[in-house]
Amino acid sequence: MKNRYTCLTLSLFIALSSISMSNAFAQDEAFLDKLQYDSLLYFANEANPRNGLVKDSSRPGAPCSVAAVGFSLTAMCIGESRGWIDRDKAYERVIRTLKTFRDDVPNERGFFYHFLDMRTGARTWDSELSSIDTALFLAGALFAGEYFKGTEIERIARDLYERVDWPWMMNGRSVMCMGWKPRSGFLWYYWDSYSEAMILYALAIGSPTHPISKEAWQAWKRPVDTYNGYEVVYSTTGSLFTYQYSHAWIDFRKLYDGGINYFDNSVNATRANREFCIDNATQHKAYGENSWGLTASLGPDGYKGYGARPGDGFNDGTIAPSGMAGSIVFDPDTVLIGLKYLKDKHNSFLYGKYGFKDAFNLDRHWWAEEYLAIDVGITMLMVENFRSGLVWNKFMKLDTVNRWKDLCLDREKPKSLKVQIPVDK
Amino acid sequence: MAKRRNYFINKKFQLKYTLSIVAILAVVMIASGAGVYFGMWGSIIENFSQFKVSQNLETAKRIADYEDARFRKGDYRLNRIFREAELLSAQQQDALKNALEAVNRSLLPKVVILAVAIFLAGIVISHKVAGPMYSIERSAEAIRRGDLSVNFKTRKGDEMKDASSALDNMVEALHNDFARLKTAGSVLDERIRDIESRINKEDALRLKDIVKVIGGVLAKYKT
Repeated sequence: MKNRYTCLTLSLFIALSSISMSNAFAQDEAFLDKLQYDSLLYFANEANPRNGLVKDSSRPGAPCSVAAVGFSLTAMCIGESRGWIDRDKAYERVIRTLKTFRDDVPNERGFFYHFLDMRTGARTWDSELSSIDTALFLAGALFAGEYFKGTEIERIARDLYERVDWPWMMNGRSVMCMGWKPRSGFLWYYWDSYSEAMILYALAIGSPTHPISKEAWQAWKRPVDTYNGYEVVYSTTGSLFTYQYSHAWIDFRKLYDGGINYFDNSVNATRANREFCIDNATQHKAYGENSWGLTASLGPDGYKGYGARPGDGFNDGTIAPSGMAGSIVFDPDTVLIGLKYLKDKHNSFLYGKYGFKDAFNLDRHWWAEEYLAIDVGITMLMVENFRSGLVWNKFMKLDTVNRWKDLCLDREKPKSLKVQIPVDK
Repeated sequence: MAKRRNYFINKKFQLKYTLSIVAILAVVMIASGAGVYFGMWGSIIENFSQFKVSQNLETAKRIADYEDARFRKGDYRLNRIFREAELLSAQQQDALKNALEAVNRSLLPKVVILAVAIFLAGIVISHKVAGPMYSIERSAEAIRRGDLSVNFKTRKGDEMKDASSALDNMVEALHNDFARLKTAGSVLDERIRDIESRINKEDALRLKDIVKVIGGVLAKYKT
């Protein structure tokens, strides 16, 4: 009799737990659904429908950012896959955008300028021909080509990619230059250390028409440091976006580079970033176990490359929700809890028509009024990768990616890994 | 030759055409002016409005921020001020250049359309003068050949209606006079035949020759 009661109680507990877990899952899905849908609205509303160019930020008068267009092209496909946009409309927007870049937007050897006039597509704000922004645009274009495979979109995306003269941007060096200006020539700055530029090197090395040497992949530095036991191949700024942007399109989970798995590296960087915020919670009101994410964002004194350790990133108590959201694939449970916490706690100040606004700083009682396209974009893409892996699955099928993998990465999983996620954490 | 003092020979006619030309040119000027104003001044006013300048200042600051964050230039206040000023200046130069190019682009088709309009208007207006002129030329040629039955036709809206009417009256008067002369010639010829037996034969022949000459000249004219 006693055993029967025990069994009944246990069954009831399991049933209730299942219902509770199922409810929690449904709530998380609803939350992410809304976050993605609202993010998509940015790319639907803050774009010029005649040419597909996307504003750098929701601020009136903001120019188009080429990188933002790359995120937008990807977001349109995600929106279509989730049934939020008709296929015809998504196709129309994507192809119009690609034709704008093929026919109207000025380029130099296939590279695009960082900022464009929203109406005409002309270079604006004395901006540089940007290697990384061109790469982020092309990542979006190639993904869209794979998504709408066999259509004109795939052909135009390939043409845009194949016309890029990547070796020219090397400027005779072993690493790629950040940019070039018509009057002054190549910039003084190079992608010479771990950063968001892995996708730039992948596209440049994998090019079927103008590839750079595979040695360029090994030429950039991979500095390693540790924070609270988390070993990280770190970027100079320690900004979370540097550990996220390449991962938005490239699935690094099973890729190894001389014993480094960059997915695990980003897991460690994400956790180190969170611990850095927890450790500094006494100094900054916004920092805490559920309120973290130091990444380049707006702040009370303008846009800054906020970051944590490892790295020498600047921090002043400003938190960007996109820093957290962009890391959802690296630490899903912690990120979900944090995002829901931020929305519940600061909803009226922090959450608006396009999802999370860019940043906030409780020490200065400052709340961003704006949304930044690339921050909304990384949120959109990474949440989709977390939920369905759509962007990764499509992008990893590209011949370009396979060429780069074959040329630069380890053939099989190494026996010893250089960056390991601590087991006891 | 005396110097002409009265320039309004036909005041109504001259004023009408002067005003037509002025009206066409006014349309051209208004269209061009509107193009320039709304194209160039519109762009300049928009680009340099307080709102836009404020937006541009914000954007210049933002772009400089992006450059600092990406290139890690360091926040040296003086460098930043120079960089923001440089960005603003470049942007304003672009705005002016774009405004001028936009005006050129918008004016070119307008100028072509206006040129075609002026050409067509010229044909229509000149036709109203050239038509009656051609009619006068043909009628004068017919009169030279002796046809006094012609008239100087004009269409609705044609110019030179008064001149045509005066010429019609002149031809009609000539027609009547010549008809009377023909009648008088016939009567004279009959009278000479009546009196031929009573007068000197030589005089009769002389009179007949005169009547023959008059009859020959009058026979040329259709009345």
